[in-house]
Amino acid sequence: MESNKKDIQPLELESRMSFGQLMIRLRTVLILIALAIIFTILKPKFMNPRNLMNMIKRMSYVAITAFGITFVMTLGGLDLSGGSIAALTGVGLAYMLSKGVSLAIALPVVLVLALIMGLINAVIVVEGKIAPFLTTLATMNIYRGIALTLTAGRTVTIKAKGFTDFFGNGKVFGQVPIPILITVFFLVVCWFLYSKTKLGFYCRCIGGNEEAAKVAGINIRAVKYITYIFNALLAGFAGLILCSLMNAGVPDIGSDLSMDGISAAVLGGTAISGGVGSIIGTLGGALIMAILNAGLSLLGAQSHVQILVKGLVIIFAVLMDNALKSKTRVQKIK
Amino acid sequence: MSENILQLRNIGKTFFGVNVLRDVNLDIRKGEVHALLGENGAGKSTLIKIISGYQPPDKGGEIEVNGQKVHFRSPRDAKNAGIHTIYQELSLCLDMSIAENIVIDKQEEYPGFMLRQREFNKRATEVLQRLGLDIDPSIKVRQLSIAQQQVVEIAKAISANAKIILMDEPTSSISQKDAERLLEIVRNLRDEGVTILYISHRLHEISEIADRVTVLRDGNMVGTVNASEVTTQDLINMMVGREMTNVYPKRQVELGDVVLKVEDLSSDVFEHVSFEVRSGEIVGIGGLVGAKRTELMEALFGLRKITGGKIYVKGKEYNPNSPRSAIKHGIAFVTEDRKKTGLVLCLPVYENVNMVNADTMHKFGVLNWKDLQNVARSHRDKLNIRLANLGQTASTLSGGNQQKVALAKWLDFEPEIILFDEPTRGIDIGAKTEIYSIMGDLAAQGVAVVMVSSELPELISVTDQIVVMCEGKMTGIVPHSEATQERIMTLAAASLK
Repeated sequence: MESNKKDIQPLELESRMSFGQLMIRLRTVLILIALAIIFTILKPKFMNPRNLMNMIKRMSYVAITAFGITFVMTLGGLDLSGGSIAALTGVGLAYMLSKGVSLAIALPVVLVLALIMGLINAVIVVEGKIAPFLTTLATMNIYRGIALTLTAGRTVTIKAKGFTDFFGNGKVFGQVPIPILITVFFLVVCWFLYSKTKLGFYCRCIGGNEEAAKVAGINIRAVKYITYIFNALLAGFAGLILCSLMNAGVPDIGSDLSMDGISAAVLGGTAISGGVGSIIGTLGGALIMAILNAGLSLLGAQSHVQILVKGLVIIFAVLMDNALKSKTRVQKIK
Repeated sequence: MSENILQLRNIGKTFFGVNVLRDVNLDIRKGEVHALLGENGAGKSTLIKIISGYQPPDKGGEIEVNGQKVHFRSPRDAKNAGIHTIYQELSLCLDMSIAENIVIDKQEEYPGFMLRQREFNKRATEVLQRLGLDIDPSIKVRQLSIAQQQVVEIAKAISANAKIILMDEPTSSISQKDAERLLEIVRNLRDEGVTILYISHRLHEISEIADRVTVLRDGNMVGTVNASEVTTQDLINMMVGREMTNVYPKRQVELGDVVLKVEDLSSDVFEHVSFEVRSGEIVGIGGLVGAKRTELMEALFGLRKITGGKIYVKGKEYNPNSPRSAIKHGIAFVTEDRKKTGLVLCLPVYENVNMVNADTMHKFGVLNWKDLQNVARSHRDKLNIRLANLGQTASTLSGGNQQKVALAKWLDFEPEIILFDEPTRGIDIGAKTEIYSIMGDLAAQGVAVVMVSSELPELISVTDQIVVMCEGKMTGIVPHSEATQERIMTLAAASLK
């Protein structure tokens, strides 16, 4: 025991990271770079800034949804209803505008509506003690059903040009699309909440070990409520971007938004079992999916193939994750 | 009658360098009820696991069944040799019928693709009747009481032609009446020629049904005696007659006012517990498994509903309804199971240390991780937690260091009462001594300490007084000056006799 004490110098935080651990840290970036190189070699046009901007813009709403899902998954929960929340938010806005409600009123109303949908998810999960998967599977259908019923399944055109131009197609500095700016804004907010505040920390504690979190006096109910509501708010913003891009409220839009969000989070290293995750990783995950989509369509692949590849990439990422983790176990210190 | 059906030679077992079982030589005679007795941690469970094929013994150990040397590589091998084990946590499939559970081990007798429910039921009815349980074998196991489920387990073993049945604490979770019926079944089985290895710490049961008794202590075999030739007091002496070595000497601390007062406290599983803890005092809670000591701690910490009695913290009545309220009243709880309730294993050490702190050390919800890391660093130095860096996950630490991390998270909000539940379980002797020393320091700072422990030497040497419980009842309070292992063990088994 004495000799042990001498062996182990009191090292500072994170001072020693093996090559393998570094690779785990950077795996999303590595995949991104690899994909970018491959596509550039195959199609030099790929690196065109215009093309890149377009690609990221089309991924903005997925990234925003994925940020919210990262919190929920870290907490040990799951959300399948994000796409429906996005659709109902967009449809609600289009519907109200078509009935002559002013934008200044309709916009806050639909965002509150998104909050309420998150609240409903939270109430069912926390008070009803129903598994998040089942809860949000049900509310996914309920919210979608409301969106479809509201418009009798039809698309409602948004005539508020100022709004759609700004949220969907606007640009600042002549180059950067507004959706990308919004994504960056939420990236910063979510990164801050996740890494620097009690909310993110408690999500990790609860997802890592709910029993221990309870014993430590963490208010588990409050954290779950806040997380599900925040997640729904983000899905609502994703819905606003989507309906602006379409110039319309489309009730059946975003049906794979939640799945893409979950995929992005998983690609970025968020554990489906909870306790582990990162916002930057999720951004990386969303970018990987964006690059894949853009690259494949440049290569002339049909959207069917893109879906197939999306599936393969997720399996590949998780397999690599597991392999790296088992290779770089830290030695036990007695 | 005196022919040996099972012989163990030089059985030992080492886990991660800790020797939990040494040199056990045991002869089980055909058709006897052989009781295995020992304190918590004496090595009973490990021995059962070896006999039932879950774990191999260390090199050099030999098992013979009917004079034939055997090597069990899996529980299946043991079952094929006729050894069946009924664990404390029953291993039945709750949503399958009684009959399906009984035949599940003998699927090779029913080849073919289709389930032959009628044959299953017939076979089950026969064996259940033999055991005196008149019940429809097609009903689901979930609908049965624990006692009935146990009988189904026995039926499963009998039906598979068991020669030896190991029973691990079969009466620990059933009522007195059911226990008597179970003992009746055990006697009948013996008369039919089945050999029973019966593990229990209920001494009266052992004198009632056992032919011979083997006592284990600290992984060593103390001896095998004929049950008819010894008294319960003899057995208690065999169980505890241990030398007190390597134990931290009690530090003398000036005691202050009463900080925690428990008055006639009851919950769903324990009742009428009363004791007081003064500032600077260490009060031990002793008892055997099933004494409901952990449950008492849970009640004090707001994790278990109180049904009667009162708790006072510094003279004021305190009604614990959640861990949050307990923490607000200055109570900390270092739980028994570090991995399950003490730590978030996938998080880094410094985050674990700050799990409780984060509630107060923030500005508008924003955490200053630099400060929090410094807090963790200072605890690492104070408690001598050995790690490569504060960012490594808690899962990578050894048991002793994990325990210190689990403790460290409570120290920063300066609790006035700390509840320790088995604080030294599963950690090496060096770390144990360090934990005792930390407890001594806390007491010297005026903290009121409550420690649940199953290790008598530690309980006796570290504490000022010991509250002894038995099956949810308080059976006595022993001051430090009068504490002996025999005295405490007698109280711990008091209502069992």
